[in-house]
Parts: sequence; structure tokens; C-alpha cells
Amino acid sequence: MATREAGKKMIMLKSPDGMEFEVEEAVAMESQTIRKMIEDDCADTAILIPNINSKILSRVIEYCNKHVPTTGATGAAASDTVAPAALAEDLKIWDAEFIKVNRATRFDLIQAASYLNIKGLLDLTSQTTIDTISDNSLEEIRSFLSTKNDYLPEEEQTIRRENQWAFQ
Amino acid sequence: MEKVSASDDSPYSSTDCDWSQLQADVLLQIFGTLDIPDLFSSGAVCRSWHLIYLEARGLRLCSPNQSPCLVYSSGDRDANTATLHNMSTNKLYHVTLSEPAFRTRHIMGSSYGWLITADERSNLILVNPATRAQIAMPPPETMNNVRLRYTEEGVLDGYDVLFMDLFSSDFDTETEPYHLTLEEARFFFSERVVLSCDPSQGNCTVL
Repeated sequence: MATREAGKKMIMLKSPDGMEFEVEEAVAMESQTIRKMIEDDCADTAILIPNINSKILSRVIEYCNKHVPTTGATGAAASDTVAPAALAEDLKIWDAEFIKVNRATRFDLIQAASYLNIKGLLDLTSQTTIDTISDNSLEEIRSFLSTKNDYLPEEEQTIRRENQWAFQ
Repeated sequence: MEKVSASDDSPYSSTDCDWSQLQADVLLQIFGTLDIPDLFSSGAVCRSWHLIYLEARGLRLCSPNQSPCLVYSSGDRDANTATLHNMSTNKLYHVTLSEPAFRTRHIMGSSYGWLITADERSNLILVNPATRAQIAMPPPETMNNVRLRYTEEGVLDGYDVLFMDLFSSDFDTETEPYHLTLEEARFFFSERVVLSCDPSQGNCTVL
């Protein structure tokens, strides 16, 4: 586990459903939470990620792999020849594809990004939520997010009345 | 294999996702970027979002990048209603404000999301069209050298501005006071209004 390729330290991430993911340290350190663990020497063996299942964790790793600064293994060869602007554009397209997931996965990704403190992923997942909320009526927001309305009708009326103008 | 990938998008997975349970800090961050009407809608989605909405309001986490709105008094609405026209979404919002009627006021300017208005008596009133909060400024007659002027029937008619004698620092009783009608006073007393900060944060100085 220590060194697989020359000079590249590997880290083992474990999900609570028993799956293990071996990733480069640089990739894992895209997560500020894991970075802190590594820097504080709490991560010499495997790191258990207690609340992220393997399906989501693998997607998070996929994201980090793509977004790790290009000295990493993936895309290193390409980045030497491609201009930074084009690379950023390429990442944007990749992000847009990456986030085309169902509501539940998106929800899990936000929670994971928040827990692992991965700013780029948190911004990406938050932005899609902002887009869902923006310019939509209350009923539309509820149905897009399939959030249950737990208000009594009269309670909801009171809340709406407070800022009536925004609900027209 | 196909079956597995199909189940990814099945409704089964969305049952265990409850957006009302989104972490507070994530939701606060999201709320901090919304346009005000969207923020109000989000605050009414469910109870837990409402609590976080109240926290965002308490922390004054409101996006500074609100879309610009054109404000006017629409002829097909009553006189107390201000119409906000969101220029980027082309949406109209009708806000009912407190007295005095919005239509009778003169708008002196706007700052930090507040409108500075002058009513028919030239009293300055700050009004926030989003929260409908109003702050009345001290009326002109509270100035040392300004008196209310009444007609012989006792009806308020305008303001008298007394001239000061620069040497005695007293009123100049020789010179006839300057007469202003109630409406023209606003141009005389406040040429320009400047707010030192957002009045809802308190401690705001109005010049």
C-alpha cells in the first residue's frame, strides 16, 4: 500500500459497506478533511469514511482524480500540451456531465462533499441546487427536490403572508 | 449488469434522500447566494428549511448580487403598492407598503437595497421594498431654523426658513424668512441623501 508507483504514496479509503479504494495521496488530499488527517499523521493505514457508501465514495474519488492538480498520473501527459484555459473548459464540460445524476445521488454527493470538505465538488453540487431553486415557485421547488411539505395549511399561509409579494 | 445501472435511477434511491435534512451549513451557503424572492420561497419549503432560513436572515446572509429591479408605482394597482420589475428575469413583484401611499412619495435615491423617499410634507422616509421596513427621518421642522407655516385658517401650508445672523449666531429677525411650500422643501432640505451603511444593520448615519 505504501508505494505502488515510484514516488507516489497511496492511501486506502474504506467505506462503511466494506469496500476499499486505493487512491493516490494527492487525490485523497483534494479533501481537506483527509488532508488534515494525513498531515496530523492519523492516516498511516486505511482511512474509514464512516458515512459515505461505496457508490458515492467511488464517484467522489472519480471527481478528485479529475480535479487533482495535473502533476498527478491522470491527464499529466495531455496537460503539457493543452493550454490552461482549454483545460479549464474541458473540466467544466466534464463537471457538467458528472453532475447529471438523479436527485438522491446529488443529495448524497453534497453531503459527502461537505463532510470531506472538497470545495470544488461542494460548489458544483450546491450550484445545481441553486439552479433548481432559482426562479421557481415554492411548489416547483418542493417537487424538484421531492421535499415533503410538513406544514399545516394555516401555518404555510402565515409564512407566505409574511412576504406575500414574493409568492405571486 | 444492466439491471444494476437501471436501479441507479429508480425511485428506490430517492426515498432515502430527504432534502429537508440537508446540512445546515451547506444550506446556509446556498441561501446566501439566492435572489430575495427565491430565498423567501426556500424559507417556506419545509420546517427545517424555515429554521435555517431564519438563521440566514438573523446572520444577514443575503447575497449582495441581487438582480437589479426597476421600482415604480403601477397605475393598475393601488397607491400603496410598489411594483418591482426584475430586469433579468422580467418578472413583476407587487409589494404593498405602509402609509403614506407610495405613489405620493418622491424617490430621492436608493442605497443598500433601501429607497429614500420624501412624502408630500417633505419628510424623509427610508423604505426597504423587500422587507417592507420603514424608517422615518426627523421632520424638517426639527431643524433649528425651520418653522411650520400655517394659513389663516390654520391649515399647514409650508415651511419658513429663518436666516441666521452669523455674528450673534442667532436668528436674523430683520430679514423676512424664506418661504417654502411643503413639496418644494424636499429639494431645499435634502439635495442629496447618503447612507453610511445598510440601515438594517443599525448604526447607520443618514446625511
